[in-house]
Amino acid sequence: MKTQLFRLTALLALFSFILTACGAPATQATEAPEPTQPPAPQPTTVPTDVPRPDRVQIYWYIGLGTGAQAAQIPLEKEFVEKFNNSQDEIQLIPIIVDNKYARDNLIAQIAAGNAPDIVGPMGTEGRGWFQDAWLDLQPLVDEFNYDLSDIDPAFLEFYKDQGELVGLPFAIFPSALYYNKDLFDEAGLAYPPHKVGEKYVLDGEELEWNFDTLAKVARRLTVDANGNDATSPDFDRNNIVQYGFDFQWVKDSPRWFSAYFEPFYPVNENGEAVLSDGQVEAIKWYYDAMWGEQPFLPTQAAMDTDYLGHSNSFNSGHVAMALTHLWYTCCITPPSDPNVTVPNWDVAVVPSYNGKITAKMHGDTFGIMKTTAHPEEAFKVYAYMLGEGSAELYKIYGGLPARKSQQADFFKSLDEKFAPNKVDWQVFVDMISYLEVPSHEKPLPNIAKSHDAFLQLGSDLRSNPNLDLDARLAEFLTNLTAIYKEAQE
Amino acid sequence: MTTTNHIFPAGRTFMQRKSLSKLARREIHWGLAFLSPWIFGFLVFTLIPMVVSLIFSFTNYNPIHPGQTKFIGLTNWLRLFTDPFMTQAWKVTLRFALISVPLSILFPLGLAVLVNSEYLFAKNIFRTLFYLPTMIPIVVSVIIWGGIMNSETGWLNRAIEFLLPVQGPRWYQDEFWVIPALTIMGFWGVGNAMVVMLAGLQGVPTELYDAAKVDGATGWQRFFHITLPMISPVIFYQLMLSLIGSFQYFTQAYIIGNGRGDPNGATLFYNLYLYRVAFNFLDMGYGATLAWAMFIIVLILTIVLFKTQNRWVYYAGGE
Amino acid sequence: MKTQSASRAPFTWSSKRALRKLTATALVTLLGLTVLTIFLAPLAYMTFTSLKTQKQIADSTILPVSPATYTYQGRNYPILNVPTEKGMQQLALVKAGREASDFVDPENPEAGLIHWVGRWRVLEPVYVWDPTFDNFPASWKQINLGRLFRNTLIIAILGTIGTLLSSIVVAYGFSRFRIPGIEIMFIILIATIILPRQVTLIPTYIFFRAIGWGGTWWPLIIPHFFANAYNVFLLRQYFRAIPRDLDEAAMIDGATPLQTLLYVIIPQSVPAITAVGLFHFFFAWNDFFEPLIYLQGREDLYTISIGMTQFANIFNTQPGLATAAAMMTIALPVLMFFLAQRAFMQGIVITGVEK
Repeated sequence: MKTQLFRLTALLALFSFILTACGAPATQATEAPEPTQPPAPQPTTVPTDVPRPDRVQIYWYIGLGTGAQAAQIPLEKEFVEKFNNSQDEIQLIPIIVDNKYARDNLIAQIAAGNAPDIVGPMGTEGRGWFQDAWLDLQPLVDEFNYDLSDIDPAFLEFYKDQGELVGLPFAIFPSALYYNKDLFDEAGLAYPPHKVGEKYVLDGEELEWNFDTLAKVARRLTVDANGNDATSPDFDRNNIVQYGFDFQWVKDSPRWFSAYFEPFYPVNENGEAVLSDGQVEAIKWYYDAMWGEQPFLPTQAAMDTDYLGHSNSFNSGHVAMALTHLWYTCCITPPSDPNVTVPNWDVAVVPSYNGKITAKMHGDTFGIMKTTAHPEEAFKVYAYMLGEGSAELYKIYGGLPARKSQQADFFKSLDEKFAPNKVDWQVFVDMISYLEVPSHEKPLPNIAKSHDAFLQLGSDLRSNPNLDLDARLAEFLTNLTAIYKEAQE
Repeated sequence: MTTTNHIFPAGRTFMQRKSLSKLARREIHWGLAFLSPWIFGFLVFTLIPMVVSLIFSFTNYNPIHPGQTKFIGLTNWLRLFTDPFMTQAWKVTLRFALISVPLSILFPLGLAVLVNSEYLFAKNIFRTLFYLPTMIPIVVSVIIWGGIMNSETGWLNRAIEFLLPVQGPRWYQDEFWVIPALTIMGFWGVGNAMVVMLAGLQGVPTELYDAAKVDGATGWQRFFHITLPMISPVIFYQLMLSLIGSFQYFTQAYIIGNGRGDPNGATLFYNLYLYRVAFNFLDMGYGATLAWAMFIIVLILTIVLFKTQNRWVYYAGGE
Repeated sequence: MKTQSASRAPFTWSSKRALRKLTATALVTLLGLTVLTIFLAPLAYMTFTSLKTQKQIADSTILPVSPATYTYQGRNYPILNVPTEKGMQQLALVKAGREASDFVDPENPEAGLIHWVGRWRVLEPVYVWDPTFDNFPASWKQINLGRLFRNTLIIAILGTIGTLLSSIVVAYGFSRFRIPGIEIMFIILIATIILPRQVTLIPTYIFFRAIGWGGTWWPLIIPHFFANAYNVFLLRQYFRAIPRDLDEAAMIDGATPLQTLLYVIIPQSVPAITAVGLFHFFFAWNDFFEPLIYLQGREDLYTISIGMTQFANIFNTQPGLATAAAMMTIALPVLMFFLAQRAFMQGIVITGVEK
């Protein structure tokens, strides 16, 4: 019995030691603490997210769009700290949730009655998931005389939902093709074109820069462990060490990547689910790129490896080209970091499909939730984010400022980040005029479930090598129609 | 349940013999006072919520629009039989139970026999180390297993491809292999089962073995004719827990299936589907129905199991 | 733990028997080691990953090694084993090409670039042992592990206290008192073991929200002050094994039942109480579902399990950090289990879970 008592005492001692080490007074463990009201210690040592009684708390939910990437979080926390130190009325608290779970989490939070105040950055799609949940900003704009005069009224229309202004323009994220120069050099291939209309020269032949050409180049850039590329008869598809191409973080839903081929809203006038021919072709192209004779795009299993950086594939240095948005600059390790994996990269134009380029666009911004208890304070934070603090946020999110005057500064800050590598930012500016109509983010009927159906199709495409695509797509459309109809009942 | 008698043998209780009614009442008062925390807790956290949950199952309650709640009769209950996801959830849960329940008995039993062996050197260290993964948060173990089970670079497939001339399975991506993959992952959390089995093994009286040795029984015979019958109550207990556990299975499926049952619904466990309905689609009326249906099924299973126990479970205490 | 073999095997010292026993011990221990090695291989993966830099993780070697590099004209180039006419040479790859590459000899850089025809990808890199410990402080800071530890400890300790207090009292009530209907009550108690918590989840959730406990720790702590079936069952079995003569002696001395519990029963039951305490502690340490639901959005109140989940999801592109954090989170429970192992095992063994 004695030894047991001794052990218990030792354990208790251990606890109190650890509690002390963790910065809590040791007595707190034994004298039932008040979990809802943690003591307010010295301001200098407070982590920003412990609520302080002397301030109004504004919760900022990040993750529906960009923002929850490892590289962005310290910068976001820095931004929050800066804001909190700039005034003594509001305490801004970030809630950062992984993009994959952000929607489900926010639903649960709203249901639990502790919804955040500000949400963003998020696209039209993210906003659409929570229709009717957003505060109309117009009364606050009027109350605070917030200056909207330099914003194109047509642009403002873009952020209106059923006549209510649910967001103010923040930043745009055009698309372009990121490519790893070293991998092109190693293969002895020409870089892809930086100007719309330029041809690509492959084996002395001039080719139009479209998705077929891209696939040809990508196959050359897909290499197995023995150094055979995907076009070689000896190519070992089970031992790929380098991939030619990826849709970087824009492929979870087929609705996203298919927009690069052909923009289309998958609902017809009878409220049934449909896909355009171009989109079906995009899905087939994508599936063939993973499971066809000469694969060049990583499958789900490949994406989940350490080798491909757990989905941050272009930055692993083992993917030669990646089609994605400007926000991806968040997550390429800059050359100043000792862990840099892709020191030399640049961007090229989006390939065309049927002679037409579609560079899908994100126009993310922030929203204030209707349920907020402090709309005025929330709007003050909002105004700071879009005004004084915006330059910093553009940098964190890689968002091109909506105002032209700020664009040069923005690119300069990116140049500093990636020095000495030089990137042709003009490509992104050129791509703006090719944005897609209708947007791939236009909300679908019964959005929670219909979006799920798309995600499930995407996961199936990436995981299942034996799909009968036509049958799978037919089944998908039947299910999706049923989901649409469920909402009409 | 037939256990009543051996739970309450006719023994002496507090002041039983002094049959003064005043003392008996005093005993009741004291006893109730001691039981009161549980009685209160049972009413507040179990009985009332159960009843409320049953009532919910006849409504369309949605916490965002509580004002629109109304009684919709048996709609939710009938939906159980037409919901395609429900069929899927059933299939997944049953497949998992069929594969993992037997293994969740055999594997910890094997480990318990091993760490109970008189020939094992440094038993305590082995016990601690086999128990160790049980203390790793499931989330963390899922991350670690991601590195082991990845079909391209994972250690498991590297080992399989090194030893055998085959391509390893695409564990998490394959609708067929994902359930075995989850089962293998489950092996890591057998610590508690192992400890319980070990307790059972140590509870077997040594005289029985000695007698069997005298009769010339081999090690295997001793195991099958003495050890197994003697620990059958523990196996029964474990069987019930794992069966219930497969209906409650959630975290691993939630993380590996992206919360949606990927790949293609192959990890849409019953409990995961319940969570989605209640907390993602906020259809709490139907969620409550799913929960009650789960309770009814588990109850039936338990009763069936109890009915069979007379045939194969041996209680040394006798009845 | 006492081995039963000592009492079982008749102690006749013959060298043949000793040899046989030695062989058996060696074989069984070898088997144990093999099983253990396979069983714990994932831990090795975790350990190696936690010692890798982001770059080493992208290289995907098993051990935390880096390719040896050579600095040539201000840039680092990896060194590979190159078969040349002079035999196998260790050369730095300066300009990679598909079918032919340029190398430089670190021994003799003045000689300039060596053109080598062949595929550099099939060459074996030269690796050097190169673990990093930076992931530990980095993840500690990122995840605010100190706070997660503190939160989880407070919840786990308060819950453990609650469950011990209530379960001891209730188990005592069930083991020593004659009350009409107590058999039924006990059966109801045992039946709650099979009740899926999903059945009570939604109303309980709404109830806690209605009384303002959403986003607080109370729903994770308070219910444990009202006993639970597993623990009551375990403790009751143990209490019943304590001879009643002891309590009766105390009663004759004029002790109230409460005093009997405090001075007779509890001191006799330390192993069982330790086991119950540890069971609950580990449960609270790992509980995922309830904190996920009740602490949604209150990052400052998160416990290790949901804090780690969130961290692991966000940092899934940096497994070095996630595994380092994971190693730190398991250190405490492992230490506890190791220290209390004996009492823990004894508590379970004596209780005889099978009854």
